[in-house]
Parts: sequence; structure tokens; C-alpha cells
Amino acid sequence: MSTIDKNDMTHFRKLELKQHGPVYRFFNNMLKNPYVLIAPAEIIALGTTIFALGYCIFMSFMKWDMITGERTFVGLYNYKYIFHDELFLTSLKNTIVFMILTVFVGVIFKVLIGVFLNKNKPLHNLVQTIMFTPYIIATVAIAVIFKYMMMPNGGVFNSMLAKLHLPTSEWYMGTKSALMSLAFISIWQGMGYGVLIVISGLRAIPNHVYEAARLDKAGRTKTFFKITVPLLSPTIFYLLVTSSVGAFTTFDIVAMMTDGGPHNATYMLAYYVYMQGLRFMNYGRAMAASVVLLVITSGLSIINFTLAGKKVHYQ
Amino acid sequence: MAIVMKDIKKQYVGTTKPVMEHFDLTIEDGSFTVLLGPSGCGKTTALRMIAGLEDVTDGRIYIDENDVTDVDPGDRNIAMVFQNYAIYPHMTVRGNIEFGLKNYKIEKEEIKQRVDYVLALTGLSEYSERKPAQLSGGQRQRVALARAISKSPKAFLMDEPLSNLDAKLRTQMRSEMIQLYNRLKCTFIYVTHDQTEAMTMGTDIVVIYKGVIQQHGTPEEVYKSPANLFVAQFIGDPGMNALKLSSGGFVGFKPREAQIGAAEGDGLKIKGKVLTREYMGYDYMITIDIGCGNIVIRNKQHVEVDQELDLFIPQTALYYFDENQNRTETVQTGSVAEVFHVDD
Repeated sequence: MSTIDKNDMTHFRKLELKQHGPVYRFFNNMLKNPYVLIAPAEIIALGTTIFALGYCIFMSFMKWDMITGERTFVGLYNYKYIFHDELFLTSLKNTIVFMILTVFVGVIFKVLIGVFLNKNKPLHNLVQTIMFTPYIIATVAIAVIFKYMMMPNGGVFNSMLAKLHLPTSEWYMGTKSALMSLAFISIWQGMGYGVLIVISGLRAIPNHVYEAARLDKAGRTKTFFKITVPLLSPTIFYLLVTSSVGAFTTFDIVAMMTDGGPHNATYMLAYYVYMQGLRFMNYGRAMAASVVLLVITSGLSIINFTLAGKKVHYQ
Repeated sequence: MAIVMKDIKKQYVGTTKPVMEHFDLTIEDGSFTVLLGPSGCGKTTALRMIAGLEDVTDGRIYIDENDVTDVDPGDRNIAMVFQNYAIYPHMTVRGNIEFGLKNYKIEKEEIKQRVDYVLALTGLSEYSERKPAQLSGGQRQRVALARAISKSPKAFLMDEPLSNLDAKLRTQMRSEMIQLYNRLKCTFIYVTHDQTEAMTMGTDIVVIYKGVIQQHGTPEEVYKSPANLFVAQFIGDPGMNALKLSSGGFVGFKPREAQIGAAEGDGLKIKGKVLTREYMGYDYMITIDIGCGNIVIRNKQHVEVDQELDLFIPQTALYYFDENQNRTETVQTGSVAEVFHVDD
């Protein structure tokens, strides 16, 4: 029988290494849980969005006196108020009209220009660069520039129209043309980005599919509607979702150019929230209006995803 | 339907050299013609010009004696099968086949009949409502075939249709293509770089190299009596061994014709040392260093690496080529300068 040297603890140490303490095991097991691993990101997301969202919904049921700081629960009063507020209803209507204009007209132009540029390679780089520039300019600057260009008296737009003997417009100063003018600027600003996305979508469609269509005697129009549009549908869908949400949250052009006027013709939801909350200090109403805005934008996304999702072809 | 390419010139925009010039090709009615050649030789370009997908710089193309040079691809009465299938990814199998037929303004009833027929013919009936993404590579290729057949075209153009399939499936599809050809009895033009496909499927083989037709003949003609050194070395597994002679001519022999061991009689006698020996199942592929280069032979005899060998090729198995690498009956004489490969 061999004797064990008391000082030789090597094989015991080996055992010890495998036998971790309860604290170590607890953390080790916890780190195997995926939710723990994404926790830091989740906490930031919770803090910045979910918490703010919850707080906003909660506050929309309160009346918040800015002077005394007193908050009282008023139930659905804020909602009742805004839905009876003509200004709110006008801004809701304006926002919907603005969205339809910018999203549908915008997407159609983006797709058409994208297809055109993709076919005319020499033009492509120069035009794309020029078109993309507005996207990297601050909206505030764009608004100021257009404010001067669209000035009914002496603005570039009207001077040019007059020289061409075409009827001039009141642009953002006219009750009927103001919303259209803002939609025009918004479409113009987002055009470069949209066209870029469309072109990259077009590049992903393999050329041999078009050759097969030529052999199948498909004409230009048929090829466009039966081949290009379906294969581009994920791109178009992406543009629809992002631009409709973008349209609903439009604020800066309104604030810079029209302050909602003339005669509330350009009063939009986000501007309404801003005015109620930060001008009139009606926090509760502002919160209620922004909850309505949230419901509409998420509703739009859900409708987009469920309806378009069936028609969208993902490869 | 005979297809004729007459004095074709093709030069891509922005390039200085044409890919082909004075290219003349007649494809017989009802033939299975294979355009064979290494990549970049112009075979696909030729096919695409027949299809109308590629413009010709100069020259005319006739299908059934009609000049189709400026006719749209859809009006040439041909169907094409692409290497990467080119089926519409957003349409069902049925939709893929119907799309072309609808454009040809065929009546609904007939479209349905035709689609059902080609689906049954290609064994796709149960997949008719599936999208291409839900199909295997072989099934997608069948969809492309079904789409082509449904148009009952006068000619089928195929651009390496089997090259994206795995080896087993390729063999199977090859046999299906031959059956299809036998059943439809119309003109097939088939582009490939794979000589096995060419030899097994084609009734006619057109060997193309650097935009020039090297030989146009039956598989037997191309194999047994190559018109020049390129064809001789391109066809066969492996191709012909060629020895350049001091006189400028060449003498060649097929790898299977070389006999191992010293022999008496008229013929070519070579000494060499075995470099590698590859077991091919039926026989061995043996690479031999003969001093002025390496040759490859196929033989059933077992040899060892580094073994010194005597090789004998009988006179009757020798091929001669003149200094322009064209086949000649005149016996070329001279001392062996080097082992020659056309690609070099």
C-alpha cells in the first residue's frame, strides 16, 4: 500500500475545480438564459421607450396643473376633450390627407424614377447623387429655403411660372394649396433615399428573369407589372411602412413654414401634440393626442403587415 | 426547322476585338445539336443570338428560311432553358408555365390542357401550386423545361441546363432530356462545356474555340476523326496526347491506344517513367514523364510509380497534324521536340 503524502493535494484540487460554489453556479446558470444576455439592451429600450410610452398612456388619464404641479385623475376626459376639439379633428384629417399624398404619390414616383435610372446607367450616378442631397440636409434648412422659393410674391416658383405664362399659386400661403405644398416638399426631400432603396431592390432582381420574360413575349408594361413590381414588393412594402409612419409624425416642416396655418390648413397631429403640450401646457391633452397618434401609426403598421404581407413576395 | 447563322460578327460595345467574326453555322431540322467548347469560346453568345437576347453586330440569322435577325425573342417561335432556370420566383409552377401562354393569347381551355400535359410529362403535377422556393434544384429545372415545352416551339435552346445539378441528378436529367428529344422530335440546340453531355445526347456536335467553329459532325466523327489538334485534345477523357516534331508537324494518339511493353512492328515507341497512377475503376489513368513532357495513358495494367515503361502505339492508331495543327493524312516525320497542349 502506498502512503499518501499529506502535502500532495493535486488530485483533491482537481476535484475542487469542478465543484463550484453555489454563487458561481447561480450566475453561471443565469448567463445561460438568453433573456439575461439581452437584458442590458432591454433595459435601455424599456427606459427610453416602453417606460415613456407607459408613462404617456398613464398621464393621458390625468389632469396635470403646471403651476401647482398637482395631478388629478380625470379618466377619459382628455380623450373626450380632444375628440370634441375641432382643431384636433382638423389636424387628424390633414394628417391623413398628407399621408395619402406623400406615401402613394411618393412611392409611385420613387419606383418610376428608380426603374428609369436603373435602365439609364450613364445618368444614374449623377442624378442619384443630386437626388440624394436633400435627404442629408436638415429639414429646418429645407423649410427655410422653400419658404423663400414658394413665396407668392417674388418667390422663384411663381416667377418661373409667370415667365412660362402658367398660372401661379399661393403655395403654402393658400388654404387650398398649403398642404399640397408641404407634401411636395416632403416627397422631394425623401425622393433620393427612396430611389436609392428602389434601385438596390431592382439590382437584386436577376437579369435572366427578364430574359425569360422577353422569350415569353411579355411587353414592357406587362413585364413591369407582372415581374418588376412583384419582385420589388418587399422594397415597396418597406417604403410604404416607413413613409406612412414618417408622414404621421411630420412636425418640423409645419413648425418652420406654416405654424399650422393658413386657417389650420396644415395643422397636423404631431404639431397639435406639440402645441397642446409645450405651448398651452395641457400635458394631459397632449398625452391623449399622442396616444391616438401611437394607435394610428401602430394600426397602420399592422394593416400594412397583414394586408401587404400576403401580397409581398419574399424570395 | 433549320436554323442558319450567316457570316455573323459579334463585338460587344466598348471592346476592341470581336468575340466572333465570319461565323457560319447551319443547324439541321430535328437535330440535337450541341455547341461544345471551353468557357469563353462564344458558344453561349451564339445561342443567345439565335434566341434574340443578344444583338448581332453583323450578319443574318434565319429560322426556317425567315430572316429573324431583327425579330423579338418572343416572336421567334423558340423556347429557352437557362443555366439558372430563370423561373419566376413569385409565381407558382402553374403560373410560371401559364405566363408565356397567356402572352401568346392562347385560349383559356387550351392553356389549361397544355399546362396539365406538360406538368404530367415532367412529373410535376402534384407540385403545380408550389412556389419555386419550395422545390429542389431538379424540380426547378423541370419547371423550366415544362415552360419551354408548353409553348410547343420549333426549337429548344438550352444553355448549360444541367450544370447547376449534382452529379447523380445530372445523369438522370440527361437521360430524361434524351427521352424528351425522342418524344418531341424537334430541334434542340444545347450549349455545354461538358463533353460527356455532348457525346451522350447530341446527334450533332459543333466544337467551338475562340469564336471559331473547329468541327461540326456527329459524336462519332468528332471523336474518331478530329479535324484538328484542338478538337483531338478537347474530346476524350483525357484528350489526345500530341508530340510536336522537329519538322513542325504533330503526331498524336489516344490515351487508350498506348500499349505497355516493348513490341515489334510499325508504330511509335516511347520510353518513360511513371509519375502518377490514378485508379479509375475499369482501368488506371497513368501520367508518364517521357523526357520532353508528360503524357497520359489509360491502361488496365497495374504499374508502380517511378517504374520505367516501354510504350508502343501501333501505326494505325496514330493521328497526324500539320504545322497549322490541322489534321492530315500525310505521315509527319522528325524527332520529338516536346509534348504539346493546345491550351499552352
